[in-house]
Amino acid sequence: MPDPIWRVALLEDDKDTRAYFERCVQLHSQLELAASFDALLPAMQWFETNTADVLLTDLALPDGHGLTLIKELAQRQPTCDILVVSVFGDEDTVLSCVEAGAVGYIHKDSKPADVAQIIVDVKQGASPISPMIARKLLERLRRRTTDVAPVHATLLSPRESEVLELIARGYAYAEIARLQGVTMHTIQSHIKNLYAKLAVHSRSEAVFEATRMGLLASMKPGEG
Amino acid sequence: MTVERARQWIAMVAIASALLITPFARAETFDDRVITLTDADITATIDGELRPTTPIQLPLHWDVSYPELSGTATLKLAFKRPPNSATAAEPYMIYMIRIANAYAIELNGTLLATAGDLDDIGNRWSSKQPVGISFPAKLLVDDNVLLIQLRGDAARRAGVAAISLGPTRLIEPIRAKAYALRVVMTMACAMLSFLVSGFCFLLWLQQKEKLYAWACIGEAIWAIVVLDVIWESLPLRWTAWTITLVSLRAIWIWALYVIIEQVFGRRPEWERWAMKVMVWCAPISISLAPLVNSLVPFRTWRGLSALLMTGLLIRLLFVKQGRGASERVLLWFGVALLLIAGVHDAVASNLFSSQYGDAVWAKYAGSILGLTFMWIVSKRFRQARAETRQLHASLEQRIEQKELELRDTFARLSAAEKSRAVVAERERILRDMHDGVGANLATAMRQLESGTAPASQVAETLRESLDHLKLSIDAMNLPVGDVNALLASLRYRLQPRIESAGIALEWQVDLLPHWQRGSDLGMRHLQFLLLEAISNALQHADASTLTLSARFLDERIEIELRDNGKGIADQSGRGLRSMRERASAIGAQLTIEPGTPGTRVRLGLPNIEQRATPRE
Repeated sequence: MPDPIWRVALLEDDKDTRAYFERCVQLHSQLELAASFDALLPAMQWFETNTADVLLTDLALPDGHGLTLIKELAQRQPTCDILVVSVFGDEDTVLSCVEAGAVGYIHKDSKPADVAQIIVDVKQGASPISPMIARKLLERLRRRTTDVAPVHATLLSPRESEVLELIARGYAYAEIARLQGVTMHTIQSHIKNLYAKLAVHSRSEAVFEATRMGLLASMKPGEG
Repeated sequence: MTVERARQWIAMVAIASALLITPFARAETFDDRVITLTDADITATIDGELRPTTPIQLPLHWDVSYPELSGTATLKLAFKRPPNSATAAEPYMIYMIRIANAYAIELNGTLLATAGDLDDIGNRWSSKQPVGISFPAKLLVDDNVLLIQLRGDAARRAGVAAISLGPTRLIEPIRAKAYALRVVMTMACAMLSFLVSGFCFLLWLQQKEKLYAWACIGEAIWAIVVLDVIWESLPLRWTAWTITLVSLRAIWIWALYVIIEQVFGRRPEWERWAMKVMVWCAPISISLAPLVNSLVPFRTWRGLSALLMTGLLIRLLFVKQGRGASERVLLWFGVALLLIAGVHDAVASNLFSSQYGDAVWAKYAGSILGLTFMWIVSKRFRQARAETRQLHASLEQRIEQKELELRDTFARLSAAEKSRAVVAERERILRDMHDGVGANLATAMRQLESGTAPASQVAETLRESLDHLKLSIDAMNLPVGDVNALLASLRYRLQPRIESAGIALEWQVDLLPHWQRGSDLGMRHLQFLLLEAISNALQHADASTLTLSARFLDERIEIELRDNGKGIADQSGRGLRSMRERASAIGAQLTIEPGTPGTRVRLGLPNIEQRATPRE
């Protein structure tokens, strides 16, 4: 089966950065640049009649805030995954974007190959979480376990809890797989199970729910 | 009890008194069928000595006829048939407003009545109330003889009042009126005093004021004193009872004096002493009476005390200070009235036989004084309550004000605290920028300006400065003391750089305990220290593998960074010096030693609660 081609839309007001990301997309065989904008309004108009598989968007734009488009798109085109272009990827910014419907972010200083790989991974269903977010999730689960143990104690299996804990300690998926004597795929499925256990079906709902519960999805941890 | 209720009580008692008094206006009308007997022949036996028979006119006042003597007497009254009595079918009555102390009455040889013990001098019982004896009219003949046997105790108001004789139908209303006036009114006066006393007691329970206590005691005593006027069967024999009663009256005088002081202000010390001596002399002088067989000491006391009270009243007229003019005027008149009544009663009961049987004035004067007490006491109570309320209100106000001040202070303190925190945060950010991004940017600038550095080196420097920034931002969210989170964030941020340098990272991080000394600043120092160590390894070690391990051992958090590069040659570089400074700032032990191969950087964080503040 041939690899699918993902259509990418880009919204970035800085000319050089936009050019850089355009090049990143064009260089990857599985990605295709569908459209590229330097302002919010033309992008929103374009999405009224067009679709894309992925949107890369900046937040601070000359004619508005990227969150406006993220919110609208998350509702109207749930199949379009939204990635935010960010310099720092700090928790507060990422949290507000995920609340609006984004699935993750890409550092502005990421190398071209990494940019393309993150896009492809997201489209293939990867649900990586950063150690910081994993720690927050653990904290919340522990608090719940002590508060209302009977209801939430079974939210995570011991194995899933262990995986989450190792992520929070900085271990990469591959290392966790090796430590636990399982495949990388098993680890990925543990992460996916977290979504299932939250009783969430669609991807954006999962993100919303995860955010609500302190879990922030679609952040790519270091690969080991 | 509220003041309103007290007022109602006063009003009710006043109305009741008025209703009782009104029907007893003196109006003794005698029908001609009623005769009055006043001529008698008396044969007395005084101290066992028979005195010759003498004619007298009733009323007989024993204390006037036989002063300070006790004995018995027989009175013989001869009288003609009363008009219209021969054919009368109705009962007749003999009526005396007073006959004392014990008596037996015979009409024409028929014993009509007897009361008390005729021989026992000082017996508990003595007649005090009006006496009416009914008998059939047929006992009356043309020449009648009424024989009265009597026992008279010294100074006990013994004697016989003028005798009325006539149809019961006509005399009974007179007797009933006299009974109401003497007995019922006296009981009403005593009851009033008891009520005032109880009222004062209730007030005293609420406010332990001297005034209420003495008013309560005084009125209770007064009630007993008034009751004594009609109380026939006493609880003690005459001598003992008299001593008791006089002692109680002395206490009453002191109570009155205390109340006067409360109203007129404190009295001079000599006067208080005089009053005390007078009060103590009362029981002493009366107790002397049976010993010296004379009432002179007691009478002297009575006279002197009346003089002293008169003097006190005159002196009170000149008092200027003190509370409430109306209180003073009322109390003054109350006491004056009682003094006059007391003098009148004393004179009447001891000096004039014609006054025998008259009602005692003092009880009414005492009731008026009792009402005055009640008025003063309730007024004081009302004032005290108002004062208490006012005090309460002002206290509340003060508390409120204090609370406001506290809130204000708190707001100012927290604002100051906030601005201090902002300043501290600003200092931290500036230091971070100076040590991290600033230094990196300056280096990049130098590299570009020199023109000799390759582009890749400049890019590396800039990338490093970006990493610095990202770590600084992560540090804002790091939980204080969580070394695991710190290491994880460090790896997450540096991973791309390590990877692009072609170095494999070995990660061996145990679950670590909370780092006790890991304050906000301590965490920053640790983060920068490790960043410096990793950067050094990336730039200078020329290694292929980097291993970071962390574990908890011997109360220390041990962090070790090992590379398999060419090893460290010079330990005096700027980076290393900064690492040492940071290590010492967080009280950590830093060792940098050659590994086999490469370099081994070890950091030991003591994790025991220490009292000394780390140098930060």
